[in-house]
Amino acid sequence: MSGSITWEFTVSQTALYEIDLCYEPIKGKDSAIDLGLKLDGAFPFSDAASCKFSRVWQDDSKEILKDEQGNDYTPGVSEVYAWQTASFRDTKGYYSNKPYRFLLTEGKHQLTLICNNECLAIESILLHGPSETQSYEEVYAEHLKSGKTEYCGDICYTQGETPYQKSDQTLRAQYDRNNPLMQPFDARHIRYNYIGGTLWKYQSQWISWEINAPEDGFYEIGARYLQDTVKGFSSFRRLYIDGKVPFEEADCIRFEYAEDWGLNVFGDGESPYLFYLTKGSHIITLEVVMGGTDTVVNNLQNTTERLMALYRRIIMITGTSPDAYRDYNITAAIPELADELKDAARVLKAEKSNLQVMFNNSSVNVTALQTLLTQIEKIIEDPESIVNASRLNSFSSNISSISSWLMDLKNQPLAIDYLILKAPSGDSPRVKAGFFETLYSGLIGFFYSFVNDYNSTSVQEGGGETITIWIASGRDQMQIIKRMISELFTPQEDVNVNIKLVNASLIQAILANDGPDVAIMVGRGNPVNLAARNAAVDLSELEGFEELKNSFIASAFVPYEFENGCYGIPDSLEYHMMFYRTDIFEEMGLKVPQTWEEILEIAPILQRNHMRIGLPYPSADASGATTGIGTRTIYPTLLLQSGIRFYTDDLKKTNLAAEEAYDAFNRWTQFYTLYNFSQSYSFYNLFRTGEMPLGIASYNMYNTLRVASPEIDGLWEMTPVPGKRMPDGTIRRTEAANGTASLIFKNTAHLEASWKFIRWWTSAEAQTRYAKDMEAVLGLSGRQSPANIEALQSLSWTNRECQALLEQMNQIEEIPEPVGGYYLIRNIENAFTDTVINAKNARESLNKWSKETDIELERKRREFRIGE
Amino acid sequence: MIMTKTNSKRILRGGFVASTKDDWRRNHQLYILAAPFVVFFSLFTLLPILMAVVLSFTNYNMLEFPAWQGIENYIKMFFDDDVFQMALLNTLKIAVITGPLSYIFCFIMAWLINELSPKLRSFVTLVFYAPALTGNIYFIWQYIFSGDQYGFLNNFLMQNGFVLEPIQWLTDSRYMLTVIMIVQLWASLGISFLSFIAGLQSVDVSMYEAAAIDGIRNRWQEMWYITLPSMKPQLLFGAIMQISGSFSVGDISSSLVGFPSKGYAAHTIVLHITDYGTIRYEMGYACALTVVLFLMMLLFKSVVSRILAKVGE
Amino acid sequence: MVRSNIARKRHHSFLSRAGRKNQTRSVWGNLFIAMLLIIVGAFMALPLVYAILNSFKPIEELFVYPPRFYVKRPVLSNYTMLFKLVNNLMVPFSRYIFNSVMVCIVLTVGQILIASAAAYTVSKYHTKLNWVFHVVVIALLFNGTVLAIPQYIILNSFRLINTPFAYILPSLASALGLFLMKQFIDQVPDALLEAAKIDGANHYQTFWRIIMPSVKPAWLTLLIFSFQAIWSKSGGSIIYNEELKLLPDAISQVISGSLERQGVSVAGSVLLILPPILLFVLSQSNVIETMTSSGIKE
Repeated sequence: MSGSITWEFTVSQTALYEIDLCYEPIKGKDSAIDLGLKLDGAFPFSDAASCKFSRVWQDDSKEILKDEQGNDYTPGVSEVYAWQTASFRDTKGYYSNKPYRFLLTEGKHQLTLICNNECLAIESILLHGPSETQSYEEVYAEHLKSGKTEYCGDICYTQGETPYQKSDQTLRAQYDRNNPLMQPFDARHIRYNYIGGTLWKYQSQWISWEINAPEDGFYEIGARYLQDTVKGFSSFRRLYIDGKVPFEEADCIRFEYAEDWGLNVFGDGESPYLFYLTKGSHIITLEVVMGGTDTVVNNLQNTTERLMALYRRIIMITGTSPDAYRDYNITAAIPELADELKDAARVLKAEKSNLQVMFNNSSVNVTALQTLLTQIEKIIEDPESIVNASRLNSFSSNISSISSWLMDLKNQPLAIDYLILKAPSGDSPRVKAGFFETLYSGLIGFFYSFVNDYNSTSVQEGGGETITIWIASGRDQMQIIKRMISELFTPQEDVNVNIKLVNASLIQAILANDGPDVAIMVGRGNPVNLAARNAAVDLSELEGFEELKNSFIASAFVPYEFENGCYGIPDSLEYHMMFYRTDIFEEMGLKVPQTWEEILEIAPILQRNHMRIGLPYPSADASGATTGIGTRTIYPTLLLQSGIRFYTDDLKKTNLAAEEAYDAFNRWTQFYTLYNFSQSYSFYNLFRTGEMPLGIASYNMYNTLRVASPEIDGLWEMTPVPGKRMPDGTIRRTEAANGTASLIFKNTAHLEASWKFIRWWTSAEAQTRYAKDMEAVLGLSGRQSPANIEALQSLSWTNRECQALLEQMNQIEEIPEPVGGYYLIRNIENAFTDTVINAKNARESLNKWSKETDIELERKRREFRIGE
Repeated sequence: MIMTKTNSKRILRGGFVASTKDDWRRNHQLYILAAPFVVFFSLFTLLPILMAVVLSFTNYNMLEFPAWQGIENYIKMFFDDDVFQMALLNTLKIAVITGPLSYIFCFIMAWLINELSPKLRSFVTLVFYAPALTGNIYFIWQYIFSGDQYGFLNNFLMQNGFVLEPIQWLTDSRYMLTVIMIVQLWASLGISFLSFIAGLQSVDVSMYEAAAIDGIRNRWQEMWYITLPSMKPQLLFGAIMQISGSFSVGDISSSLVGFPSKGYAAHTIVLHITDYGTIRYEMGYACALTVVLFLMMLLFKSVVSRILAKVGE
Repeated sequence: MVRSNIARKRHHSFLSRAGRKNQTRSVWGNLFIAMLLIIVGAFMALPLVYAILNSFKPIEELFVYPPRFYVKRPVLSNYTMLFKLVNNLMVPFSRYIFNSVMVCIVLTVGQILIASAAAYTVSKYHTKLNWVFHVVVIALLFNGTVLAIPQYIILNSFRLINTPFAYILPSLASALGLFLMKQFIDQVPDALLEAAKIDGANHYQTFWRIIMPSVKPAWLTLLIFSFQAIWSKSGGSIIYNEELKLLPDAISQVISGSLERQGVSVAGSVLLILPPILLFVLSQSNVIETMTSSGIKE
């Protein structure tokens, strides 16, 4: 998991070496193994700090399985543990995905490997001279010399959706129901017919297939593929046959952009390559590579980083809305402004033309470069002109759009339907479906829709019981869960599940005749509300509940408890973390604040430089009844850190009359009244421009930032929230949280089966799989916040991030949700409004609104005869 | 002979039973024509309304059987519910201000559009009806009134030096209600607007000519003496829809200022009903609120009908 | 036939009143009206135009802050992505379209016919059903929020939940429809009905051949309004089976709210607006035709 090992070795000749590693992965968090390499105690170059080695995955079954309705479903995936050799190389696409070359002088050296995230076993480390690959011409000539002949037989198909092995579990079979020429295709049923798509796009992911050559001979190799996401650009793959790249040109096979499925016979654009294959089976591997755009991307990335830094320096002087009547004298304040800009312009121009040459057309995306270029040229002519609110704004947004675009460039999505081996100059298969063909299959599908059953996930004939669950979320979630259930749950437990995507209130669930048995991902206040009205099952009385508790943090069940019973099992948990810009803090020489006092210390410094600090506060928001109070504002954090709770232990009244409660409230409102913090703002926008270099937000903001602000990648960190310094010196960072849960309806007829389902669903296995699949389908923005601790750890957070998250998670103290608790949320915000916006007295406001809450709590207790 | 209202009295004299048979014989086609409506209306609108009225006297949390409470809900509403009083005040303010304003606005716009040529008319009508067509449309108002310094209005004010700090339009109780009224006015061109347009089209042309001969000199007179009286049915329709609309302001408020709004400053009765009905699970109280709201609207309706009867005199 | 006795419709053209108009309004008046219409119109159309522009923005432009009105680099990718997503659902997309169209047509046509028929009865004749109109007007004033649960219970007792009927039946008797139609039918002169009766028409024929054509603007208006209300309503809480769901549900489910799907979400909402707008444009041009029924010249 972590740690390092050092070896000593001797080198006989001063030269450039490539280093290979023979290793076997050990079961871990399923992400690629990340190692750091030091030579003689130092990283030879910065990229050596993080070298990735892939794992190997295999489908559990060679065939796609069919369920009860005749629809396909995919088998599970398991890791393959075997020894493999790979070199320390560029896996991020900065240097053409080639092995690193290390300069070693003659003599003794030390090599240290640092483990960054996962475990592995190492057998040996091999140093050797750089490997060379021959060009196609040479290889072909050699084969010709030995008198080999061309294959002339039928086309051999290998289906893409059943690969031999792959580097990531997220590379799964998918289906396209639209195109009748997919193999296989069925108008009525779902048939998984391709692999990859938008998920197979990250650098160095690979998939292998087993192909069978009927005879010795030269073959043309091709694939029916779809690349319709990155318009105007191509996706590249490196081709390996039996583990080796056959010739240099196979390093970047180009898959051009097209709106529809097409055939790509691997070639140099004019004539196809002829590959010599012996009779029998071979392994073909395709790996995602940059294919020649890496230098362009690198240069542009450097340039955008520097421009961004320049922008920040400018707004530190002028703010984002500079005074039109003031002379800022930018050129004097930032003397290197002109030079930086000229440099940037030069790079932009050069790369723009490089791209145009490479891709043979002026695609839309180059416009972004041109726009920025034009703007920079204008500023070079008249530097003071940049001091203008709208120009600054468009400057920063231009830079951002280029960064996003660069990130897109790095992604190489590709979907493969099938691979073919064909005779050179032989017939090619027909790959494009005619209009009427597509229409006809669409019609058939339409008519079958009246007959098919789309709701159940039963996989075997005459299986066990069937339970119905309701989910109130999106299509992607439902399809993923459905798939998970049919692969993992139903076969194991022999319980069929009907999933319904319903946005109805749970009340209707209960009133309906065929209401559900289980509801998952239910909002916070619901389990208790239903419990009070006798509509939910007390899960604490069911077998296995106690063990279940260990998978979550200590107070995770508190919001779902009612009268000594527990009515919900947490499935997601989100909480605040602090985000800050490492580059800005470094520039300004600031320390990351650990306590609230320190926040107040640096606030004025930041504000003098036109920057702000962000504290969570919801602007016009939907009803708070189901989101719980924990993460709406920073007040719960302040309160909990003072050591008291919101409610008295018997949940009869609030504790807001206490002195600590008032003190926390006062501190909270003073942020706004005395220190002028902003109430409403768009955190991620301000964070990325640097105007708000420090902010506290839900840790999901991490995903937003990674996805939507690629230009500040690596320039920020996520860390636990500030806390209160305790007398013994430690810092108490307690805070509350927010989340969803799963529950069972009282009127279920399948209690046992429903409980089995909930236990499975909230287990680490299911939650991990769910989160990973969501991330696979939706990208980073789909990353979930599981409540299950093990599941959280197994997501692909780096060690450092994971530690920070766990540290904070362990200090969470959940707030109970008594009946009538929703009143607390709104009344606290009313008190806030009264104090901050309507300038009323803080103590009076807090008292007034906490009394209101107490009255409501009392009412509800009477209504439900709680505690009698 | 057509059984118009004028000669129905003769039939009534024949006795009830006989008249029923008679009635059926004469009017069975009419009953059949009206039957579908009556059946579905009774079953799916009338019956639920009656159920709601009955429920207003109970305590019903929708999961357990309602418990009879007598008039306790009503007592609580008037004597014990501060939020209700606030909501009542807000609702009345909105209804009294935006109701008439938007009614007149609808009519004036319909009238102006009516002056245009047919092709232009459909285009302009589309443009004016666009807010109603567009579905979730409040985001643009959110942006205009955003409390951020980048919100459109705040930005404008700050750039031009009118204010130094961004104004919290959507959370400051001084401004919230006004914002909502503006947006409500904007969104109020709905079916009343369309029915006015249709109504204006249906006015008999010959009457205009006759009026011109009779000495009507300008547009205003023409409108008051000819157009409006001819459109009385549509005017009544429009009025009732406006009453219904302005008393039912809820969505606008919750989309813009949150639900519930800070300090309940923009809370309306409809929101209060929603609060109790769907969040607090207190359906009995929500029904009582609905009944009270309904009675208020009924009151307004009779006032408005009386006013409209005087049009054209 | 009955119709021949009725005077032809008189077309109302801009020009026919031009002469008279110039007497009573100046050029400045015209200009003022034009300006007013343009300003207010721009304000009204703003959100619609903004939504349409948004749907052509690539993702990074959607997140620009402060929000920009125009599109810098329009792309079609939101729409193509939307088509791809909906096409790869379990239920073929055509089915959702079919569901929505069928429900809309059945419900809209049903509403108009049923409400008009009842309005005819109530407006022109004294029958045992006179109370219907007054009750309907009163029912219009009763806020619908609390009616959802009783309606649900009624539907449930007929076991109609989760069938298309759950969506159609409750709204079939449109109080608004009855009210609107009755107001317009009131204006149809009694003389017309007398003439029809004399010609031997029964009530059905009178209704279909005399009344309905006479109040065309009214039911066209109702058509626009009802269609749009029904089209955009989601059946979320009464229909659960996938294959019975309506278009707005299908599209909103595809947009699961993550950042990736923001662009698709805007494209989806724009597409959903199109049919009502189309219908609006088509029928508005018909509303223009005036119906005169006082063709009986003495």
